[in-house]
Amino acid sequence: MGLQDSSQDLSTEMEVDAFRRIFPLRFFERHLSESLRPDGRQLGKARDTIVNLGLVSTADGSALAKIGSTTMLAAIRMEVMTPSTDSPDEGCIALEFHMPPICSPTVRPGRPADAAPVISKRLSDTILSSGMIDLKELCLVSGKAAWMGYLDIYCLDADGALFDAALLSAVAAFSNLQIPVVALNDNGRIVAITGGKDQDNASITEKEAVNKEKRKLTLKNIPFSLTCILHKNYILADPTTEEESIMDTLVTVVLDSSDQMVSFYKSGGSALAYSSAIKSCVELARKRAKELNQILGEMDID
Amino acid sequence: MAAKPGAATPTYSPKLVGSSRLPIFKDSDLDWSRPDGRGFHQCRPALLQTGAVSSASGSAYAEFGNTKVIVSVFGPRESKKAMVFSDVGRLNCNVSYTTFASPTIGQGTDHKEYSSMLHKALEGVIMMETFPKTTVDVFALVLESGGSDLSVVISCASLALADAGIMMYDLITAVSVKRKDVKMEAL
Repeated sequence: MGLQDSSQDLSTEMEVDAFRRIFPLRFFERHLSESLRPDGRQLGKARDTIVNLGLVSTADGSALAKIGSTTMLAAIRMEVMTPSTDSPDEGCIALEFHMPPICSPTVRPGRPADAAPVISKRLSDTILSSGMIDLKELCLVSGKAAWMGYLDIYCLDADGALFDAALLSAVAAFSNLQIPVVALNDNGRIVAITGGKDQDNASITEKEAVNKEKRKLTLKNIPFSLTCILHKNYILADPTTEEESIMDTLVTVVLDSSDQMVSFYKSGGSALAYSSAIKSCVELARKRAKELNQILGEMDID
Repeated sequence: MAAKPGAATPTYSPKLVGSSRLPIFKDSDLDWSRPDGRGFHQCRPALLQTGAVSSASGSAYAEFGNTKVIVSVFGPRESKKAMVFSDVGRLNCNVSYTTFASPTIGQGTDHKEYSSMLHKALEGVIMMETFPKTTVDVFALVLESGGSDLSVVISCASLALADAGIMMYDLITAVSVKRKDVKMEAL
């Protein structure tokens, strides 16, 4: 009681920045009572989202996704592998999420960030279980050759909602992916058809392009996610790092383009998720999925 | 089901099979120009931008042709390890590459020495006595490697340090030079 009074007295004299650092929870709650957040956003509103495709020239597909300040760069490189005997018609996707030391003051070189393997696993599970990619499309020659897609996602700036941005960048990278045209060599190896000057024209006409029609993957059931913070009876969508550090209960809802729920994730935290809170989170996620679908749709036109 | 570990399954890139590199140097012709049309002493057009990373004290992004680098500076901040009291500050540098930085998959050539080379380049110009007991961390990430990586990293790092407000004697820049027979050209 005494502490509350003293902070209230101090708040009238102290500078805003100092108050924000010393009493962060009270600073935020002052804003929440007006249904606003310090950056002026509504509680259920996500930050400005930008997606750019095809930035990495060495990759077969790439995308940069920015949600507010959180920036993720995803790149896919396709390599050829021998499919396993129990699924000879299927390729494979290897996903890895990296948090290099540039992205956040909490990450040290040589010590991988605590959040990185967690997000890596969650992303991998979400993308594979959503059914967005049909692994049979990655097959080249049944039983002998199939594509292995190495998807690497780098966090360039970590400002909250890392999973959302990473998933968005991964999905955008898949939509940008252009599978190289290849043919089967006489030795049984797959070679890329570069076409033109430095290759024997005679040998090309003999080798039929193995995947002339299948250059782009068909993406169905694209997953979109929204992370929310539960605090008392407030629900804050798309938190920043500052918000995540003060309020510890995070809920992530992943829906696909047909409004089916792909995943719901809540890992502890002091606030309990009652069914009303869950319903509100899902509703916010639904709106967000529509926004993101529109943003990706605008990107796909080129 | 499908996310098998890559280490167990060896994969190969279809592009590298049967590809040959065109010879760049034609000894008979002394007036040849470089593949991208530059003169011998000409550098690539540069893009330099500060404030690339909002979480860092200072940051910069540099693009020299196909070489793209981001450098973040954190600090001066508390040294994590228990250090003996020092009345000058410390500098910690780290340069890392993305897996897609080089055209071949994996690490490409080993560049572990770049971190200490960046440290040697910066330690002469930063005024360490202005931040005693604390550490300044300079982290670089090479997004795409198109040649002259270390020079771009050094120039970008000095810009990021300036953006962070770390006191320095001057801004430093770097350039790579390669000698081929008699002629010298700037990369």
